[in-house]
Amino acid sequence: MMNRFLLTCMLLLRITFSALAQEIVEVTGVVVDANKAPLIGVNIAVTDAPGLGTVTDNKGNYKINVERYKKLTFSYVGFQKQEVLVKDNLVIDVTLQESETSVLDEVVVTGTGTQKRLTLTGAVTTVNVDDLKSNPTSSLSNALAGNVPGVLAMMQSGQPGRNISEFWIRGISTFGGGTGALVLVDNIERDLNEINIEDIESFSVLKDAAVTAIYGSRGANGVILITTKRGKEGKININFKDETIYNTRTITPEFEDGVTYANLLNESRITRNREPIYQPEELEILRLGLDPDLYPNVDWQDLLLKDGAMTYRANLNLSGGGATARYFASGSYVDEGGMYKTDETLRNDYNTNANYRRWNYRLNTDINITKTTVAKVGVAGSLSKRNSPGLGDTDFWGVLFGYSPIRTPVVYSNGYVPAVGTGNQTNPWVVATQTGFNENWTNNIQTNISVEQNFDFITKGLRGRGIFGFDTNNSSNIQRRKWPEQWRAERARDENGELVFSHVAAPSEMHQASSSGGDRREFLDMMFNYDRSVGDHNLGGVARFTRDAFVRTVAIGDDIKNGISRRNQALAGRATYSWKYRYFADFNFGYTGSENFARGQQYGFFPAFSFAWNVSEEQFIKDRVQWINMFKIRYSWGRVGNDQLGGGERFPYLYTIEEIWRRDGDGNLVLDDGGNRIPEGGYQWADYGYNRYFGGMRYAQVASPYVTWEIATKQNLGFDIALFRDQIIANLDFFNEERTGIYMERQFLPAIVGLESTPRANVGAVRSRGFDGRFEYKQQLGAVNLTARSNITYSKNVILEKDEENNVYAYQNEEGFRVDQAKGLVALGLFKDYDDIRNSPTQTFGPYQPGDIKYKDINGDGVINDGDRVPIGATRRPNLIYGIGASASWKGLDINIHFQGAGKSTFSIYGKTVYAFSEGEWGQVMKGMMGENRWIAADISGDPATENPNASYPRLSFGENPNNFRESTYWLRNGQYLRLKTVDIGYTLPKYLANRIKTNNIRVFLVGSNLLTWSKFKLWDPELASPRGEDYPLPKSVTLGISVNL
Amino acid sequence: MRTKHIRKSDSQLPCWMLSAFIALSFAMGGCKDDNPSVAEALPFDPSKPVVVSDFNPKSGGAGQRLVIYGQNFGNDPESVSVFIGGKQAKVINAQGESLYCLVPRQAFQGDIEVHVGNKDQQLMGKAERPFDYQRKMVVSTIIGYRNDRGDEPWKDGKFKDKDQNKMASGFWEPSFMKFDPINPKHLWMTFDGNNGLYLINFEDSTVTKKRSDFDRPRSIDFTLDNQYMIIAEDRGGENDRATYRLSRDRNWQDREILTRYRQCNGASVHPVNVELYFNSYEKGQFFRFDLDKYFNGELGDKDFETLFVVHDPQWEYKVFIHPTGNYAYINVINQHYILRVDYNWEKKQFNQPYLVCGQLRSAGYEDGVGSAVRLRNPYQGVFVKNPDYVAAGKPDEYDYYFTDQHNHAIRMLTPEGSVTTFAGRGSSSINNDPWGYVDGDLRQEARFERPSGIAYNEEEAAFYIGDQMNRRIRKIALEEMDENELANNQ
Repeated sequence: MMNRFLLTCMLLLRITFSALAQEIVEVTGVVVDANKAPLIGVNIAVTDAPGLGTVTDNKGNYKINVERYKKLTFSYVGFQKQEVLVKDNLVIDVTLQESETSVLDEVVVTGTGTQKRLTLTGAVTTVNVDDLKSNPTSSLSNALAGNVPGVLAMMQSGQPGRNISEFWIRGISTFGGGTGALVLVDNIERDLNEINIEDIESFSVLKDAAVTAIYGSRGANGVILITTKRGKEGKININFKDETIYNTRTITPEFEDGVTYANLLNESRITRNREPIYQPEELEILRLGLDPDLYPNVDWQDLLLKDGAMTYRANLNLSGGGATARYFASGSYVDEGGMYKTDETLRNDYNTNANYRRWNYRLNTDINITKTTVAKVGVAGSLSKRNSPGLGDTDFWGVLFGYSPIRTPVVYSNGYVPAVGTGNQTNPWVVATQTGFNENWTNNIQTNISVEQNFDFITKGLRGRGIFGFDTNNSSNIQRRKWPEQWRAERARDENGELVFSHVAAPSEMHQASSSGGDRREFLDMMFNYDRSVGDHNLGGVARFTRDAFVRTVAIGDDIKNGISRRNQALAGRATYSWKYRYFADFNFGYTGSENFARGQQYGFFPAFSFAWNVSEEQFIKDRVQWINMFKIRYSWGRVGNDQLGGGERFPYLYTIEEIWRRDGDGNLVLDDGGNRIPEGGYQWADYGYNRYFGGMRYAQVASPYVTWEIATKQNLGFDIALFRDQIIANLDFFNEERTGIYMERQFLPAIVGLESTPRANVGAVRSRGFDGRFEYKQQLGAVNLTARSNITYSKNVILEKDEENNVYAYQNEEGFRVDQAKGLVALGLFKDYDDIRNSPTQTFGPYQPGDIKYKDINGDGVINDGDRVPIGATRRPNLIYGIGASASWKGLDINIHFQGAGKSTFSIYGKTVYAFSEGEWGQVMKGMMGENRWIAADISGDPATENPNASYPRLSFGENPNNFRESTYWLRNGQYLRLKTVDIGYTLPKYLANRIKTNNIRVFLVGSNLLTWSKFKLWDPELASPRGEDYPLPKSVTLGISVNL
Repeated sequence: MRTKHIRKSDSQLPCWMLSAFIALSFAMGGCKDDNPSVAEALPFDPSKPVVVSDFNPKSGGAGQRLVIYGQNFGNDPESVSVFIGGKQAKVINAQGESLYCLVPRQAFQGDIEVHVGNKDQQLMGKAERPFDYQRKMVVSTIIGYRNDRGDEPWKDGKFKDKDQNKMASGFWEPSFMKFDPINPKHLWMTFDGNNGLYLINFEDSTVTKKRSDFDRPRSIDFTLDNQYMIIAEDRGGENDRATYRLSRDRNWQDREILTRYRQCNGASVHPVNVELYFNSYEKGQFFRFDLDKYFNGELGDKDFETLFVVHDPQWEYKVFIHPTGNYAYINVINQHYILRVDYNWEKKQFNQPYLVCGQLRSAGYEDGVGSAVRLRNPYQGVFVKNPDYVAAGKPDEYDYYFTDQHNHAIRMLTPEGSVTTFAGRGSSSINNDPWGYVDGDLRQEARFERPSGIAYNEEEAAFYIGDQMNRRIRKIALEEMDENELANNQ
């Protein structure tokens, strides 16, 4: 009975459907451009029917089956989309108009939504994401330097997985708190380096107060806004990109061979009246290679480093959808190979190379719930694995730079594994291949759900948006260590000619240790926008409420503070007014709070005012100077805060109390015979002969209840210019920022205050000034499109106020100088002879001889001491970054060349390879370190000319040499450089060929990165952050890739 | 060698990519190997003569590294034999036009012959000039061995033998040495922390443990009639034995307790007047015990007097009395200095001590005079007659040689108070640690590791050193002339 009923129902339904179904017809036609030339490969899709579609053939013809009264969408890159309703006419010929993209139409993403660049009153850099894609590393931050005006960046290391750049928006303006910018991906604070660059839709850098004030106490260091791609209505769009990259190194330090090393070592002893280490016959044995056990000559670098390594990168994304739902799905894989050689015998067991792999995925779905409501769901994640040799993760380079070629062989001839030192001073081959391996896994899942509602039904121009998101990050480290048995042969053989060994380290089987970390972030964001035009008056308003919490979830220890979320809450708003696209006024504010501070200090109000005058819209310009498309002057003033405290300190308004235990002079705990701590500072509550001692308590840290965020008062004057129909585009911004209330420890309170610990306060002030800008010039020569472009960022700061010890000499204060400015003595060259020494001020650092460094007596007191230290250079972090590039395209061929440079950077070099033999025989001698004419005593070289007071390296010494080896202009190096950052040559297959294999677009490309570097400093890459050079060199690479669009 | 397996490069590129890279190699700087290693030596060619053209250095002593230049040495060190002064040298390596060998002992003539080839076809080349062989003071090893992992037992045995199981070994505690005054071929040794009395017998080159019932023996001395050996023991209790005597006629197997007190670090007999001086670590007491009265039966084992206290409690020191009896040196081991105490011939006892070298609680290594000197645990000392002083008619004819235990050196204190390093801390490369095990030239090469016991044999002008961490007995002497002794030691 029931069954029959169901059957009947189904039949009925079926009839109903048939009746509703429309007639399917075949539509044909030809698609041409404005010049009547047929367009090949135009996408034709049935509107709202995802997946159905076709493309035009090589004569521009198409054929498609479609129901009547449906719409067809014609779309083609570089042309405006067109929709046509299918009615009676089944032959539809379409003429597509070329799309006119003008600077005036350019859209900019800011914290309060998107707006036209034309209407912008603040300083925002929008980055063309394609410019960032040629970066061959896995980290997006490496693409910023020289590409993004307003950003100063410096790459830290070349090691896969660690090869990220530190970057600062408009430089550094504080010495107290954090200097890092706030990075928001889809409005949520996330790590820049974990993003798959192919997923990025837009990348904006918010620089001045007008656009960052709404971030209140978190926006002072600038904000980076990234939005990810979303699906668009239309036929499915598939992009595939595959790249194979060969990496070598820009500059790899080279070391002297064993014979040279031994001779220099001897000289370093003889020249200081000490006995040589190698006797002449030993040098002969070494030179002739007669005793590889005791007099080896090992090229450790060749043994440990490959010439290069491969990186493999693949990316696939799909997007499309209909009017009711759209999707963007992507997956990517990157495998960066390390340059360490590995032990072949272990190859099947595990890998000790420094590799990095990462898998990314992202799924962005937009669903139209009602006509006015859109729900957006975004899920993304990544999993990465970094591999490294057991000890080698941190010690690889230190050991390579330390272990001299004549120290020991790789393996003694009897198979014993040699070592002179232990730990991080052992045999480099052991460190690199025989100590096990480490695995570093990180994974994160990022989720955000947002609902956008159009409230036009309430009042026209009102929109609302709510976002809820949460991210989880987890990381785990597994160390798998082992150690071979190690031996050291005595310097001399026994009477039978046998080696005499002593045992250095016992073997240890592989053992493991693990650690993990994790955190979670929750985020809530509600925003209402209102835009309304009344005549020539355009009004806008935004109200926004955000709340976020960040908490460590793993390995939080026993301190309750660690388990408490770091929360921020903010109410922000904006009001805009413009008249006729000519005059613009903006008011922004953030009322934000951080719960890291005491009640009453938590909330702050951060206002910003900005104005713009678009001169080109004035009638007199429009009439007379028509070649000016845009000329806009912007000015903004505002306040922003920085609540990142130095060291990530938590709750500075709380005090800490501790029990007092007996300590020795160095502050170490003293234990009694039973291993217990001994109480102190209390009272003996007993008669003589009895022990009832109770210890005291004290403040380990006094409370600093009034501590709060730093305040940045920012001013920005900007010019946006577009001339000759956008042939010339320029943006230029001048900024002035005063950071006050810089958070610091009060180290120099007088003892009379009576505090045992240092309170914190907001006392410092720094001013930074500079400019950033961008210039672009386009020219079409026949079929060739030429573009030249450049950008520049310059920032210089000065400390206005700092809580520091008052020095006798004003130049020794930090006040009045830059943050982290290089300081040291001024070297006048080397001492010529003993007369020179007698007639010069006394240097107080240690004994010195002719050939040692002579310093300038700055304060004229006749003595060279620390009172003569002055600022001698700029800062390590460059204060100037610029990029210059040009590109040309001709038919399918395109070429792009980009140079990047940095300036206003100096740094002191030091370390065991810089200060030769300063750590005895630990430390190689780097080729080129001593320059061309180092100082040699005449009785060693036989030539008085080698006692040159202007020599490139002072008299050698063995062991510490406090006179020579200290910060001075002698060791100061210029960190400026210019490099050929990118050469990108691509070829796009002609359309008809691409269509023949059912694709839209195929481009093959060859990219060279960091191919050439020009710098005054040649020993290692000038960008490498290490002042000792002991780090993984930066990569130089060639990429071969293909991208396919279906 | 396992390194041969190290991957040259594991990047294998498809051909089509390689060609693309070649196009860009202008900027990539290629992968050249700019480290030409030493050229492969040609094998020995019997049809060509063996030529010795030169050698380096031109002079030296036994064990000197010698590089010989010439032609056709081949590349197999096994088939090359070198004779210097008629003695076969140990060849370490041969590389065609050069070879490396160690100068043998007693190569007095110095003429160099290089033989290459197997028995059937052997060619010989001679150097035009002889090697200038110099006889010199060297450090050598006479007893003991330490295997690579340091797990050999402490046992009696021969000084040296091809079979390690027959060799004496052990010696890993701080030692004290004393030659038998009657038989200079008998060296007596004790070790702190070892229960034995050891006889180092140079007559038959053996080590024998004579007794096994000691408890922390710290010193050996003999009575003036040489009939009794006096041992000091470092024990904890107030009534524990501090010094006792063993008698020669009982073959040292008896024991008669002389004094009882705690923590004695050493006992010495005055060489003229028969008093026994010993100490206690407890408060640094310096005790006098009249042996004459003791042998007359007048004294009990507590009848010793405290002459003075050296500074503070917990002072570890040993007393070494000058052969004339005029004064004594006090080696303060754990405070790194040496005191002198003069003998009062009227009172028949020592006066108050005063500083000779080093500085209280300042461990270090510095040669020099007086308090500028730095020591680190001066352990045992011995007075050695200096013929130069005798010739010059100096009032004090003796230098004082002592082991500077934690400086790994043998140092010398002259009567004028100047301290120099006599042996050790050589081979100053590879690692900066001054310790190690290296024989050879006293300062250039030799290394010790915590030398403690020291004794001097006047007859052969040789020092014997108990080298604690190297677990060997070392010797410092002019290289021997005597073939037999050489044979003995091998």
